[in-house]
Formats: sequence, structure tokens, C-alpha cells
Amino acid sequence: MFESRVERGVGLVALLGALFGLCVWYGTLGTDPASWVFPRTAQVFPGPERYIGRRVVLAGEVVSVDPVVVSLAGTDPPVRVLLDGVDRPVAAGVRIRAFGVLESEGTLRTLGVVTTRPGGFVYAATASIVGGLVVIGRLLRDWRVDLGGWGLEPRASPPSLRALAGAGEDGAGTGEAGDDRDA
Amino acid sequence: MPDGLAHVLFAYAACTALSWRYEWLTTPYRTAAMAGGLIPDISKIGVFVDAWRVRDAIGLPFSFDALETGGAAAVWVAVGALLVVPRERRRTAGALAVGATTHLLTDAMLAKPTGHSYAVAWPLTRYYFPTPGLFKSTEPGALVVALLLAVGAWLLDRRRTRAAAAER
Repeated sequence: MFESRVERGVGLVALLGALFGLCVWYGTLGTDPASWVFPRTAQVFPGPERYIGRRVVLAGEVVSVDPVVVSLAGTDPPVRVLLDGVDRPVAAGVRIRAFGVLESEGTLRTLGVVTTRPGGFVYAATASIVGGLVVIGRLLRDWRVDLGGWGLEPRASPPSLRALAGAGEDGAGTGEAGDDRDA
Repeated sequence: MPDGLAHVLFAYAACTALSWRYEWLTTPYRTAAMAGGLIPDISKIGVFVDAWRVRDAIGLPFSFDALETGGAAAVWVAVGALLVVPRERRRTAGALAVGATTHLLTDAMLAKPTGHSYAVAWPLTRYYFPTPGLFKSTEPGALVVALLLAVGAWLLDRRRTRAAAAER
């Protein structure tokens, strides 16, 4: 099954279609407090009066510290919400996500927050780019395109004595003693 | 997510440890596992492409969040399996799955304001499981842990390889 190029091509298209379908399906899902899925800023702030008394998750930047006031991301003009009951110090300028009950259009009775330090997103992006480069580098080193079989296959490692003595079907020598590249 | 580098290192550590039991998990498959460790981050395309633009363009609901779930990861593993030559399919799928699983599990431990994570098991269930809140993707804590695990696994692996060679 799925041996020929045509079958594999069709399979790939079908799988990519399935991924697209999953995204459409997920897009139909609404909030579900029983599953701990709550409305977020973009859903609440076109018309926050409908969410008063309900639990929501709001995200934005801290603009004032005592009391804690957040300028919500993605709102235009920017909406400010007071976070009532934040139980630990937050600094102005940090990004924050707050979960709580919307007491009024301008106040959230806060049940939990997560903050992001300045520079946090730059760190995350940089580390992720490095991770991506490591993977790309290793893929180039460890895999090759088999034009005959039309697909990727592992490269045999640099020959070790073991491989020269009697290579197995996999290019034996990978993972064996003396293969310092087994990392 | 813990950041992408942490994910890659967690995947490497997991795969290396598993190779002590499943000897076929050699270098190329560890690389595949590390690639698998990045799969659920394909959802980050949503940072660059606004989902509402896609919705407008296709006239259907649409969310990139589906791509962070276990269900989407399983489909991507199948994609990877079809990209390799048929005799490599099972091993590659296995390695990719190891990597993707480490990603899903570590993401499920990220700090969240609700104390619950995300739809990691969707479409089996949409439930957002409780999270111990161990990591933030924007701080290096996860990377430090991942680095320690990866270096530890690598050292143990070298020691086992040398011990095995000494016996022969």
C-alpha cells in the first residue's frame, strides 16, 4: 500500500487536506467553560457587556502598577482594564495574560496571571530559530534523497571497520562503537 | 511552547534514552525525532498569517490552533512517513512520533493563567488538562532543563557505546 509515487502523492495531498480540515473544524468550536476553554480578548471586546459575570482570558500590556491596569492587545482604540486582586507584583511594561471574572467593562476580578518579561518574545523567537537551524543541519547531514525510490532515506554513517566488514541493510556502523557521530 | 531549541533538545534526550532499549534509534532517527519535536510549532504560522484573512478567503471557519493538537501531530507524522522511502516508513514514523510527543507533553506543562493547558488530546477530547505550570516559552528555564537532559543522555550514550565496544 502506498508504494508507488502516485499513491504516495495522493496520500500526501489527502493528509494535507486533512490538516486543513482539522483547522476548519477547530474554527467551528466555541468556548467551553467545562473544558476550561474561555473567551479571549478578541471575542470579548467588541461587546464586553455580554460577558459580564463570566470568566474570560484577557491579554495586554501593563500600563499602571497600583492599581494594576492593562491596555488590551488587539483593541482599537485601546481598551484599558483594571485587574482586581493580582496577588503578586507586576512591573509596568510587561506583557500579561489574566484569567478572571469580568465584573464590569473595565474591571476583571483576577483569578490567575502569567507575565512575560520584556525581551521574552525575542528570546523565544531566537531560541526557536536556533532550534530550527540545528534540525535543518542534522537533516542535511543525516538524510538524503533517494531519486530511485523517490523519497528520503538515512545516509549511512562514515564507514567504520564494522561497516566495511559486513554492512547490514541499514548501513551498519550507525550507533556502533567507534562512531563518534552518534549524537 | 517551551522555545524551539528546548523542544529539539527534549526530543533528542528522549530519543537517545529510548535507543538504549530500541537499538534502531540511531543518528538519523534521532534527527527525525528532533524534527518531530518541532512539528506542533507549525501552528505558529498563525503569528504571521492572520486566521481571519484565511476565513475571509475561504468563507469557512478556520483556526491555526488545530495544528498544536495531538490529532494534527499524528497527521504530520503520517506526512513524514510518506516522504521517506517505503522501507523506512515505520522507523521514521516512530521517531517522528517520539519527538512530537515530547513536544506535546512539555507544552502541556507551560504556565497558563487559567491553570489549564490546551487541547493537547484533540480531537479525542477538547479538554484543557491542568498544567503544573513548570515553564514559560519566553524564559530559559525549559532550555536549561532540556540542555541538562540532552547532555546527560549524550554522556550516558557514549559510555554505553564504549562499554559495548570493550566487551567485543
